[in-house]
Amino acid sequence: MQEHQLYLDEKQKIDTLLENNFCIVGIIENLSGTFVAFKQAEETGNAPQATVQLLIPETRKYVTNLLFTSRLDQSVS
Amino acid sequence: MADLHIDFAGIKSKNPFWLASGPPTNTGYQVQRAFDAGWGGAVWKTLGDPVINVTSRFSGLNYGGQRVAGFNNIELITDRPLEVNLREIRETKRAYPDHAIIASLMVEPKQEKWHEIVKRVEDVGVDGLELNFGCPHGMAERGMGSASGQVPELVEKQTYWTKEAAETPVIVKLTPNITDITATAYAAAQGGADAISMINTINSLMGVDLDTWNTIPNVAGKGTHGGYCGPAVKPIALSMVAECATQPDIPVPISGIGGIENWQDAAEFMLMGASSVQVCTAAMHHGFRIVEDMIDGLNNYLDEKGLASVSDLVGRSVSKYKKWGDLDLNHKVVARINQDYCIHCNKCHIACEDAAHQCIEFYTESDGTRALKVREQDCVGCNLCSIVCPAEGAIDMIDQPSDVSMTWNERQRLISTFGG
Ligand SMILES: Cc1cc2nc3c(=O)[nH]c(=O)nc-3n(C[C@H](O)[C@H](O)[C@H](O)COP(=O)(O)O)c2cc1C
Repeated sequence: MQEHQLYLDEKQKIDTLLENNFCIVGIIENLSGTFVAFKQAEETGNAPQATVQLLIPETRKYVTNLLFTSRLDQSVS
Repeated sequence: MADLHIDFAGIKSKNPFWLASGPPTNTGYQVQRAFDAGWGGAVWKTLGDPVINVTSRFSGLNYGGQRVAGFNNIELITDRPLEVNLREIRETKRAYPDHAIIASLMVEPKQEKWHEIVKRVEDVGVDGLELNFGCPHGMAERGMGSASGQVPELVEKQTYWTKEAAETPVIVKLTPNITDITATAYAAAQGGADAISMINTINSLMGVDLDTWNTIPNVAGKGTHGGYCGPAVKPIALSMVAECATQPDIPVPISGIGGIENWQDAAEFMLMGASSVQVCTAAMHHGFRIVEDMIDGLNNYLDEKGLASVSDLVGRSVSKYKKWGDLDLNHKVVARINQDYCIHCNKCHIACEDAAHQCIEFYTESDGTRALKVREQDCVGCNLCSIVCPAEGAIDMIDQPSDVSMTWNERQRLISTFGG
C-alpha cells in the first residue's frame, strides 16, 4: 500500500479519538514506533483510555504538530 | 568595482586569492609569475629539514568526462635547501612588496626547532607563517605533518612555541584526517594562533592497476597512501570551514582551502566564513591565469549583490549552518516533472522505484503517449530524481508552504513533557 494511504489511516484514528473528546496524555517512542496514549476528557473515575501505535513518519510528525501548535496557541493567548 | 583587499589576521593582500603551499609555490620564479598573473598572496612550499622525494608522485581521478575531478599526491615538503628558499623569498618580497608571502613551516615537535625556523624565515621579510600540521604521508611517519596535527595537545603546544618566537601572524593549517576538526582548531586557538587554514589533503589511495596490480601512483611497483585534493574534496573542506566558523570558541579568521577552482567556489567558502582562500590543484591543472576569472567574477558578483567590499561577504551564510536537530521538520518540497523538458529517459522513475519512495509513475496522456508523473502526496522531497535527471529544467522541486515550523529538538522537548 502507498505510504500516504497508511498515513491517512493512522491520522484518521487520531482525529476520531480527538473528535470524541479524548486528549493526548502520553507519548512514548521506541523501536516499534510512536505510542500515543489517549484519555477521554471530562470523565471522572475510570475514564476510557486508548493507545494508538504510529508507524508512519508523517503521522508521528502530525501528532506532535497538533500538540506543538496548541502549545504555541496557548503561549500566544 | 568592489574592494577586494583583505586584512587576514594582519596579513594584507590586494585580493583574497592565495596560492596554497604546494608545487605552484615551490620557487621564486613561480611565485613571481603568479603575482604577475594577479594572485594576492602565496603560501610558500613548506620549508623544513631536507627531504628526498620519490617518483612518480601524482595521480588524477578522471570521472565521466571530467579530468582531475580529484588529485592525489605523495610529494613531501620542499626538497630544496632552506638557504635557497630564503634567498628567493627575500627577492620576491622585495620585488612584490604589496603581495603577501606566507612561509609554510614543518619541523619536529620540539620547541627549539620551531624557534629556529621562525627566526630564519622572518628575517627575510615574510608577511606571515603557516604551520603545516597536515600532510598525511611521509612526513607523518616521522612524527610531523598530520601525525602532529591529529593530536590537539601537540597542535596547541607547537602553536604556542611558534608564537613565542614569531613577530608575524601565525596561521595553523589543519589536517582533515581527524574525526572532529573543531578539536584541533580549538587547540590552535588556545595555543595562540592568529588564524587557521583548512584543509590539507585527505588520506587516499587513488587506485589499483588491474593489469599490473600495482598501486596508482606506484614507485617501482610499490605504493603508499597519499593526500587527496581537487574538486572532489570541496564539500568536505567546506563543511570543515563551516564547523569551525560556527564555533564561538574558535574566534580566529579562517583561510579556506580544498577544491577551489573558480570565483563561485571561493565565494562559497567566504560566505561560510573564510576570509581568504587558497588554491593548489586548480593552479596545477589550469595554470596561474585562472586567477583572472576569479578576480573578475568575484568583482561582478559583489557588484551584483551591492557589496562594496569582499569583507562584506565573509560569513554571511554562517548563521544558516545548523545542527540537524535545528532543521524544520515541517518544511516540505515535492518533485514535479515538467513535460516540456522531459526527454523520457525514465531515469527518475528507476531511481525512485529502486532507491527512493516509489512515487514516480507512468500515466497515459489523452493522445495515448506515456509520460511520468510524481504522486506528490507520497514524495518525500529527497531530490534524488532531480539529481539523476539529465535534462535541465525537467524536474523542479516545489516548496509546499507550511504554517508552523517545528524542529526535531523542539519536538523532542515537547515529547519529553508527555513522558516520551
Ligand atoms: C602535489 C601537492 C603538494 C602539496 N604540498 C604541500 C605542502 O608542501 N605543504 C602544505 O601545507 N600543503 C601541501 N599541499 C596541500 C595543498 O596546499 C592544499 O591544502 C590541498 O591540495 C587542498 O587544496 P586544493 O584542492 O586546492 O589542491 C600539497 C598539495 C599537492 C597537490
